Amino acid sequence: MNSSQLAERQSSEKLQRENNRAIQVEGLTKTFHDQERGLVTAVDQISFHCDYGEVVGLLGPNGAGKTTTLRMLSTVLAPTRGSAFIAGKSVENDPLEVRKNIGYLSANTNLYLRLTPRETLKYFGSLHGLKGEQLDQKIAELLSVFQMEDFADVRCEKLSTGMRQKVSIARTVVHDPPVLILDEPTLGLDILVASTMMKFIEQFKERGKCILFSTHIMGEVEKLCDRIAVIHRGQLLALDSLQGLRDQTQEQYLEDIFFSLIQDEVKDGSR
Amino acid sequence: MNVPLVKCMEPETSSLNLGVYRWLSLHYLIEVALISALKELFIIYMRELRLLLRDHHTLIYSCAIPLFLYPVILFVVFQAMSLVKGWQESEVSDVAIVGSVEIDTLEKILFDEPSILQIYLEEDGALGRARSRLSEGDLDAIVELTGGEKEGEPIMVWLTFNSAYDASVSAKSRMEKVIEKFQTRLFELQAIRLGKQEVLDLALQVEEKDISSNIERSNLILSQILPLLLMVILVMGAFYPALDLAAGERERQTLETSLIAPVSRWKLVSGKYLAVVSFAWVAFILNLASMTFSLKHILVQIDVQAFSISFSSLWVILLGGMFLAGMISAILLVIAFTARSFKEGQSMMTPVYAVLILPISVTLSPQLELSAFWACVPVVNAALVFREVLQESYNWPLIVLTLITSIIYTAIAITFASWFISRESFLFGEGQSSWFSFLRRRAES
Ligand SMILES: Nc1ncnc2c1ncn2[C@@H]1O[C@H](COP(=O)(O)OP(=O)(O)OP(=O)(O)O)[C@@H](O)[C@H]1O
Ligand SMILES: [Mg+2]
Repeated sequence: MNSSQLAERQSSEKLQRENNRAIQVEGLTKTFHDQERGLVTAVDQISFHCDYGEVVGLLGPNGAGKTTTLRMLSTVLAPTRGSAFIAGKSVENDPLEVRKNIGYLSANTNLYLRLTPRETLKYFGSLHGLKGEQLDQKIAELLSVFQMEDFADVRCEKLSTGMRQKVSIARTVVHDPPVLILDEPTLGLDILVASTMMKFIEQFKERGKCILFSTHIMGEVEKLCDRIAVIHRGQLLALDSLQGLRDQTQEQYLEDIFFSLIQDEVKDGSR
Repeated sequence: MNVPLVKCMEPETSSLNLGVYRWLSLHYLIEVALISALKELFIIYMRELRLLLRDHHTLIYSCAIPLFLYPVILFVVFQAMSLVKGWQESEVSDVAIVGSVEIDTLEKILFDEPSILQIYLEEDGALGRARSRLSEGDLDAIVELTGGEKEGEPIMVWLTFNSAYDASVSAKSRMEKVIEKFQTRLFELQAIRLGKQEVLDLALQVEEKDISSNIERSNLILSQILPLLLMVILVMGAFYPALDLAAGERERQTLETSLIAPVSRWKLVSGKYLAVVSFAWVAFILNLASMTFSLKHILVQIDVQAFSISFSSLWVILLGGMFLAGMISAILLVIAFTARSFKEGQSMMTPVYAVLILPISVTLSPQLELSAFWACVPVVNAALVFREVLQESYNWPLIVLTLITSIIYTAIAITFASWFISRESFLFGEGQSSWFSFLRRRAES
């Protein structure tokens, strides 16, 4: 076996491994042309990966580029440079397959307010290929898991924020996707609904799924995440387990770790 | 003995298998590619329909207004007319009477009619002057008596009126009653004089003459204004759904929700398009039904000259309407996508109306005929087909050409809209350095 064959085999093995990853991001970059600010680099050459059975938290101050990153992963936005694969499917070349394999939730994915929760689930379920009894069963299951039976046939415009969020999360998992991408899923929720949400994420993880979610709440990250990504000004500052980050920064609490990472960056920037 | 038989069978079975495979793979292709695509399209379409049906604006503009427009208009017209009729009844009709045959009998009858002011004309040339006064509306009717000089010769009654004036029309109906009485009276007199029954039908002949030329013109205008009105309704019926499904979606922040569904963007846009077409068409049909009903029932009741539009080939009219609905919906959807919010879309309503109604009203000109050239001009072609169809002249090659070009334009519009909603500036509502933002700024100011 000569060296080129060896390199080829190695690279194909690498590809194989990467294909088995839930999320594989390589040099992902997004720039915007803004009328006031000129060229804005919202996400700057980010690379990371997430595996199945793993919860990864995305932390970062406002405007760090979290939403933009997750939008690119959900195929809503096209990357300027770099690549991203979800369940082995390219975000750029195979967006339809990517959408089939993810559940995406963000502040900008509002519900159709004129539909009822049941109709919403039916719509997304049937677009994902569920039909007949299978679909009805799935809907019934989700309605009971999220305790939505009482308002299953009330139009979403009449529901409270928490109720709507429950409908939204049910909508993202109606097709039982292997990967969940959630942008601030607990935004505006009381602690009861928020903890239901967290419990659900945990259960999802136990079933071997991959969850990538962004948040501003340190407690959620500490409790739930296997690994934590900190991003600031579009750049990935760290991605490690809580213990790993503690070792790296010599801080105990996540809040302090966060400050320490970001202040380092600020100092770097001012130098 | 079986061996040759089997050998003989073999190629046949394999070719059969091949055929089955081919059929199966074709079947598979159809099943997977076409049916599943249609299914997805249908799911999206039904969802959009449901959203629209639960929106008050859409229901008002696409269903209620088209349905009640004509009854309301005609009710107003009806009220106005009965008011006018009341005035007319209290007004005296000026009727000129020319000739001297049996004038005494007529005079006696007219004596009992206070609503008719009769003017007797005797001098030469008076008839000519009376005619010109009639055409100007100064005089309401002319009654001319001739014949009856010899025994057995019938008496002719010439009743001339001008249907351009309502006063003249009512003078005519008053005179008709008088002439009827006149006729009966003459019969009686003749019967007494001759003692015979046979000559009676010879006694009087009545000729009516309308000197108005306006009647045709007004009918012609009406037969072109009504289709125009129908088209205006169609634009109105399509605009709100288009706005709701495009700009409204952005405003309600459900655009990303739609985009993350596992379907391609052209299906998303096509689903919206079909929903808009459906509403435009419903508006059109309701309006057509309302128009037909109103013209047939209400106008007949109030005894008005009915407009001469033939509704005999209804299905062709529906087809023509569908042409127009298809084209207009595509254009409106594209325009609605460029609006950032519902409000902005509404402010675009007026220019859009102007832009769309202009080519449609071009079809009012009778010189403009459907030709190969016009069949390739969007909207105008559909409007012309619609007009031709209403006039029951079918130029099938050109209709087919219009259909083909309309489908092409619609496909272009959908492709454009699919591309447009993929643009970042569309997602975030900030179109820059494009003519859209220019137009938008103009619309805002
Ligand atoms: N459409 C856009 N046009 C121009 N700039 C944009 C656009 N979208 C995002 N940005 C910029 O990109 C950067 C990252 O934004 P992003 O929304 O990803 O931040 P975030 O981490 O989600 O913040 P938050 O915590 O406030 O949600 C910001 O500077 C933002 O102004
Ligand atoms: Mg965000």
